[in-house]
Amino acid sequence: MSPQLGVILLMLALTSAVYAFAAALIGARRNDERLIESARNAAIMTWPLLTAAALTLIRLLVTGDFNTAFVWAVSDNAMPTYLKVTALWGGQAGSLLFWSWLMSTFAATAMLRNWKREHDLMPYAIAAAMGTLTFFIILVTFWENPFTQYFCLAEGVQSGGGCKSSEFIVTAMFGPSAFLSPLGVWWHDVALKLPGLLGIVAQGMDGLTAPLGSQPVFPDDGNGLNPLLRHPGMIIHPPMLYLGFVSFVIPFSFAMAALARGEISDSWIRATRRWTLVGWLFLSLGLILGGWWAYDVLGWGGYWAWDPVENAALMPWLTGTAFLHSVMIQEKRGMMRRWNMILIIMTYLLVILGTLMTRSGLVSSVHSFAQSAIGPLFLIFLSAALIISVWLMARKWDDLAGDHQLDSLLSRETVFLLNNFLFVSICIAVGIGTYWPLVTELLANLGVPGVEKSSLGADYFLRTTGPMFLVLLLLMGIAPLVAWHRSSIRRLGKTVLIPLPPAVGFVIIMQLTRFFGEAARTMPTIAYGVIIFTAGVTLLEFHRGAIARVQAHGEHYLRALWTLAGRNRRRYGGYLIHLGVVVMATGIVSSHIFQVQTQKSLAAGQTVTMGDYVFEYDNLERFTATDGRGVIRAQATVYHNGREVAHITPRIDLFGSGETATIPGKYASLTGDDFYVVLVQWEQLSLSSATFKIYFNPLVNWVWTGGFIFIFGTLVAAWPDLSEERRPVEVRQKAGRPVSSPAPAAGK
Amino acid sequence: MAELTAQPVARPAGGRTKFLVGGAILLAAVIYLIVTSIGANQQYFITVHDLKARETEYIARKSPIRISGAVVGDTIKYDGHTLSFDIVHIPDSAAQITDEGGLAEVLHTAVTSPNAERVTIVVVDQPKPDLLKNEAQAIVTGKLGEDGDFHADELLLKCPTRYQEQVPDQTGG
Repeated sequence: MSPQLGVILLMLALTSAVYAFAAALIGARRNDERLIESARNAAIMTWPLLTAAALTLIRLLVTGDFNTAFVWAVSDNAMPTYLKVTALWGGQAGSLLFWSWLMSTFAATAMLRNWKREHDLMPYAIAAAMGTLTFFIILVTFWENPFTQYFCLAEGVQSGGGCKSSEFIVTAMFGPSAFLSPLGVWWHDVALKLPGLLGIVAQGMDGLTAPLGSQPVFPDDGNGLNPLLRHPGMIIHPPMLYLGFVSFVIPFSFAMAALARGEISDSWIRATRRWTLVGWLFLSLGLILGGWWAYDVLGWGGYWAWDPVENAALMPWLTGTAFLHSVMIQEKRGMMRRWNMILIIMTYLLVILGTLMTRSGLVSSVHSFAQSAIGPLFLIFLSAALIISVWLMARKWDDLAGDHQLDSLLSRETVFLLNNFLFVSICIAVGIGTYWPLVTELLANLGVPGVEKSSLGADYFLRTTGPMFLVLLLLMGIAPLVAWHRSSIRRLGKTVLIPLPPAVGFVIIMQLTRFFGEAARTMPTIAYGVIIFTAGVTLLEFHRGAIARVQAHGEHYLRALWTLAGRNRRRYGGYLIHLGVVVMATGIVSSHIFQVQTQKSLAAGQTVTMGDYVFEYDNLERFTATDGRGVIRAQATVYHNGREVAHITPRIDLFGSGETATIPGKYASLTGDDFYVVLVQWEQLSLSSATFKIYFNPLVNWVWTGGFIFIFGTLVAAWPDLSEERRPVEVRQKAGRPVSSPAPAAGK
Repeated sequence: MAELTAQPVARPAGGRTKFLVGGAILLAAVIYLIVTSIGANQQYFITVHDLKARETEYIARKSPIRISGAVVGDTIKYDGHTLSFDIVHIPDSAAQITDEGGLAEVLHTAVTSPNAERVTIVVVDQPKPDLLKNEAQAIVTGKLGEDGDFHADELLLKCPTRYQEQVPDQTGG
């Protein structure tokens, strides 16, 4: 298989997507069933075409075809095969191809699954999904083509083969052609003369054919993948984020279809409920894995740095979470239609923006990649999507009015509304912090008085989002207790009675005894109190449901728990997610507030004491690993309360390319604390003394455990449940009867 | 809240008001939170040139500032505790950087020019970042000390050459 095949497949996929987009729109206009079906078939056709394109690239990667520029840039001969395969998303062009392939997979699945049931929405849903896909395939074909090859210009070709120097090397999709090559040269000249953004965009286009007389170049070995990316977390993290990003395109497409169709029933919500959950699942997984990777590999003792790229992935998650909650109000009470529409549009735009952020150097970031022509292209697409969706919404604004109004300040609806308000506020606060440098630079350049380019430090994010997350955590505890429509403090009182005293008692005792030290630790103490309360309520919900089943059916307690969750997946899956959040919150608060760190230079045999722990540096060794990297590895022992508990080996990997990776050595205690040691500096000559940065991160492993519970809960909620779809009435009765809680079943 | 909800029927008009008032209070709280946090955490971007030109003003300044410059490889010193290196002036406007041939070119010119303005960055008790090398772009947050050194709390590095479109060197075959 040759790279040219990949280019041809991409162009065919592009044709398919454009045709599907146009045919769906025209078909919907004319009510032409045959045209709509043809649009669907073309849309589905993008999947085999993009699959073949992706496989072509994987094949080139695995066989080490270094004539292909992308393959050269992200792989080398020494890499194991699985890394060559995952190098598909190791660079920009491959990532965008992978994104397009996922998008096409999801679009095709949605079309096959929902064709009959959501027949009326289909044409416009096809148009929205294919419009998005077209944009990505255009990028991947003309600007970030992973199949371009190296050619050596005629004047650089050596007589014995090869190229005189790298100055003569160019990239192009196809070899020289008598007709097309002069055209390419002409275009290049035109592009250089174009002003501003237009010039950047035009110059960024990949060459179609190589100049006349040039020869293909076949390097012996590739450049290799960035060593920091050779970690299991990093291999899974980008695909998870992309899966999350892409799945949200489907609900957006159906929402747009509902608007375009003028059929503002709630069917688009039903059609896409599972898609939303799946998107949310992958986005959550991507965020958690990203944190785990950063913690495990980057050696700075933390897992979340409020980096622009991290924030860009967090923002659609925040609006998506708000959406997941507020659709329940729409399903239950026919309210919040406009709001849900706004949320799904916001999520979609943030997804596109998130992809842009990870793929361009828009805001300076540790992740940032080369500035390229795709930035302006993304902005054009984003503006178009924004204008179209706002226009569609404005047209149907009155039809989107709710069936009911809020009745009571204390009701499930109001609590959800508050939840939405907080999630969106957090998203806005994060957005302000992320784009602050861009905005202030723009304003300063425009000459607005008093504005200088500035950025906001990590403390900004903590100060703004911290209190809001805390209130959300509290709401999470209260929400299950509050009934739909209206509730009262008195009815709430009974259910709060059990978890509230321990929570309040904890806060008071901790404050009075100054348990967390002399420094006022009011905020974390309150946070722990809220955690205890919310955990209590959530566990009680499980317990009460199970007890009711035990009494009604005489089931064993554990079996009752199992059936309970199985019968009402969405509700109890949701509670599991809440439990996961509580566990994660414990880890985040503890490891953030009570982290201890120190840096020490030690000679062999010397120790550092940190609380109950003693760190002993034994020796340092330097060797070459089997894969060719140099390793400087420290041997050290960790003692806890005088007992030897672990042998750890913090190390520094030196790669041939001159890059280094600092891998921490870690010891995790049974309670989830981490003793985390980074080798910072070593003596070149003697290898006898070394410098270590030592962190004690209390309960940090709760973050990962909580993440696991969280993902498990999402799986429970999202798992296809055939009986639920076939027999909704029966399920509702069963779930409603035995539960003695004042709150009727959530989301049913 | 208890009295309000105890009423058997809330009139629609009255119901709206209480939600509007509640919403307004919440909105005000969030805006207050964001505005005060921005005020407390704003870090200004300053070039080495600006820093040198208004040295006394910046020494007196309490809030952290953020400067960016090109790392001079020869000056990097690290003894396990104190990391120090010099950065030289580069322009801060993206347009100017593009005009001068891109970030990699600008960094290279800055480091090789003999009379570029420079400032010494001092970082204490932090690991030496992997990316700290000659002609990297350093974005440093901290304060200008009275000794004229810049004492940094946070160090961010960018190596444009790493992501630059590279072409193979060995081209045999």
